[in-house]
Amino acid sequence: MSLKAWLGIDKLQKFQQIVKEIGGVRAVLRKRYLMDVTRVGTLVGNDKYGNRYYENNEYFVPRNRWVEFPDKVWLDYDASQVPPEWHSWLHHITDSPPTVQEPLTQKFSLDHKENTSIYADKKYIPYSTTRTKVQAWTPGQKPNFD
Amino acid sequence: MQRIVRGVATKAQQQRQLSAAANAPKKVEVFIDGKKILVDPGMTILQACALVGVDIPRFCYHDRLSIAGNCRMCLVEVEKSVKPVASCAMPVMNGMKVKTNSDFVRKAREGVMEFMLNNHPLDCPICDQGGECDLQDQAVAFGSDRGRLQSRLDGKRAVEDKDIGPLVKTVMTRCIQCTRCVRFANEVAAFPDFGTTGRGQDLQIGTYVEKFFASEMSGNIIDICPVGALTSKQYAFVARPWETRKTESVDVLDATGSNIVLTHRTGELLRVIPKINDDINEEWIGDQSRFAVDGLKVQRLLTPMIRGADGQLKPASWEEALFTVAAKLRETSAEQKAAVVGGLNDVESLVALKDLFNRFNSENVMTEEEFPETSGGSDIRANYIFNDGIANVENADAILLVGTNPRFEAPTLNARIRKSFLYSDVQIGVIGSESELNYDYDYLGASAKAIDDVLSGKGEFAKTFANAKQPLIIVGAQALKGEAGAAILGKLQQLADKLSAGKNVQVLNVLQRWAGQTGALDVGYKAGTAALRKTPVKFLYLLGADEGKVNKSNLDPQAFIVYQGHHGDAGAQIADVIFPGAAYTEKDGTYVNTEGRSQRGYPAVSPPGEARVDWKIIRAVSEVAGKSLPYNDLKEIRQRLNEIAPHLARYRDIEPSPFIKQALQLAQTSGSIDVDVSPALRELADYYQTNVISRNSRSMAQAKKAALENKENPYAEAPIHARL
Repeated sequence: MSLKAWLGIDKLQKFQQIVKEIGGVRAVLRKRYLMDVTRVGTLVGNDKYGNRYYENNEYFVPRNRWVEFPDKVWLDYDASQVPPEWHSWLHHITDSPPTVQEPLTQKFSLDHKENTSIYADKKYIPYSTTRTKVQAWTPGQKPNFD
Repeated sequence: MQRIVRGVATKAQQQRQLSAAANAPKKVEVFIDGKKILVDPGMTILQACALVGVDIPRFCYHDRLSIAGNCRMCLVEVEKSVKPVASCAMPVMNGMKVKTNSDFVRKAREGVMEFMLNNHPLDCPICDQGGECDLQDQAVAFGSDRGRLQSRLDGKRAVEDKDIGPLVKTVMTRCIQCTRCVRFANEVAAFPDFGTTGRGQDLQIGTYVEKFFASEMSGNIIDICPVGALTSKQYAFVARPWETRKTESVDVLDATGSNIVLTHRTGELLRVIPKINDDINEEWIGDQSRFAVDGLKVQRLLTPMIRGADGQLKPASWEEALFTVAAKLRETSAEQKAAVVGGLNDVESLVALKDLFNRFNSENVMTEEEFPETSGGSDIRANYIFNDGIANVENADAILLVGTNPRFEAPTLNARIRKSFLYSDVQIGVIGSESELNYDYDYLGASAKAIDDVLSGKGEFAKTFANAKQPLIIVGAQALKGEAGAAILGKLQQLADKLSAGKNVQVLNVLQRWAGQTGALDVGYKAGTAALRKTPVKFLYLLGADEGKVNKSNLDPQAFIVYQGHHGDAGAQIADVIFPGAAYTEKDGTYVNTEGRSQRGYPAVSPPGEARVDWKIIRAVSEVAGKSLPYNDLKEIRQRLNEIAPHLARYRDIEPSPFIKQALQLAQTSGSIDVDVSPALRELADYYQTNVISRNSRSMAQAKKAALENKENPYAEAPIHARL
């Protein structure tokens, strides 16, 4: 073990390098705020939703691939915003990303849609389809016995 | 005070009992399971057993029907008798030793039960009677644990179902031929078409030719059927008795105030069955009281509504509605305000509404139903109640019906007239129309002028009526409307005075049509809406007034109408603001029946939607209008009721009404009474839809349709009424 490693200076140097790669202390803080990690890696590709996909094999397997969501979603990111072809790469279902190997698409397959149930205005609210126990009168209505 | 009045009543009863005891024949000594008991001669063994608390199993025996003795379930052992004895039909004899629980008796019952189950389907899981079935219970208690039926060889008996109309469902395979329904139809409902055909294995209950069970009491055969052969169509496959809750309450669909049990589950009203009350309804109720409750689930007012600038009623919040009404209430002058109440209201809401109007210096509160204002009118209570009491109808030996058809206006009261017609030689006279009554009567004409003939002793009936020991006049409230009403009342008072001399009866009895009417008159409402037509009002408060007695043409063109009630009907249609109120199954209420008996109704379910209990709505209006009424809860408003009229808080008692002599002095004796007093309800089809609840009831509409179609049925015939 080198003296640097023994004193922990290599860690500080690594940290300094990461800060530099991310783009300064302000950018690091922003990234920690958004993602709770300060990780850097090589950009593997983008998708049409603005997500960026990174890989850094210094980390152990499940954590070596990750996605960074576009700024516009800010904190409202959700795993369902990742399209299925990138999902399989992120989760090591495939080895090569869709930028390298074009995913198989069928003519009947629909466009990916994220789960909108986190948005108050877009979420689905279930309703009862059974008849209410007591039915209301609407003005002018006569009883109907047919 | 309360106690003293009760004491007086019981003293009179005691005297009656004492005099009855003096004439009673010698008692008979009977031993039941070794226990000695003295009973009246002529009593059956089963009744004697009931006196010592021994309950004999039975199917065909029913307290209020004649004895058939055909189910054999009530077999007991009588010493020195070789065979077991059917206790329901065997009169007691002196020194009789009865064993009700010996091995011999148990074996006999077990045998009877085995025969019964041989021909009864095992469909309890899909049977509506399951859980409240006499056969089910008694099979468990008295049956064997196995049967010897080999259905592979013998097969089970199966009978085709009968169609007896839209109210009662039949599954005739389940029938055990107890003939309770046949006896009920013949004796109580006077529908002799219901009978048995065939013998032994082939015996069937039915109407021979398929026809509608044309009776206003048909629903009661559901209750008396000990098995699931006759069940309610409305309640079919709805609930089991152990999942439901029961609330004992009072019926408001006729003025007798029948006692009922409301069955409900998870806040939903499921059915109505009668509760035994020997003073009022015995154990029957009319079909309207039983089946019209499905009308409480449709056409309901669920939110307050306000008529917008475009002339359309739109849902609004309670706050908006209350403030709109309160502002109008404040700005209208006292003489331009009026309130009209319908016939289904509880006394609490009536008192609150009257108090509210009195706070605004208005006495303009009136009922939709009319009653004479002159000659004492509703100021003297004896004028508008059923003075002799419903139970006393049975003791009468001559009855004069004026302008009423009790069969359709008060079915349970009519059942008593029918009962005394069958078992005594009561003479009945009718002034009005020749309507379908289920007893023979002397028809005295459509015009009230016939009262003069009775008064002067002209004619056959007048003579028997004059000589009767317990004469009874039943006059329909409807006959007393209009100008001639007061004169008719005056004439009847004279007649009653003449007949009641030296007798222990009041003779004059008014049969109201509406459950809320007696209560409204008791707390000081004016009867009839005539005052409205004299001076057009600008602010009208309708409390459940749906009979169309008030319409826009009676009022000032700019009139502001508030409707408070539970159904969207005539009243809600013309209203500017609607307050959703509660129906009788949804509120604590005091109701005064036609005999002046105050009774309490209890809520089974809560008012639907944003509807509220009626008196609380009026209390809220008073607060917003700045003149709060001084009661905040049920106890306090009942206290207020007690202040106004203490009899309202003396539940279940009849308050006797004095001042009959004074009423006679005030009676209007002049005026023509030559008017037609035919009742509005003349035939069965008229019976079903008479108020806002039954008008909205699907089953009542179907029953009405069936009754009308039945008139076209070539096999339907008018029954011949014979005394037993």
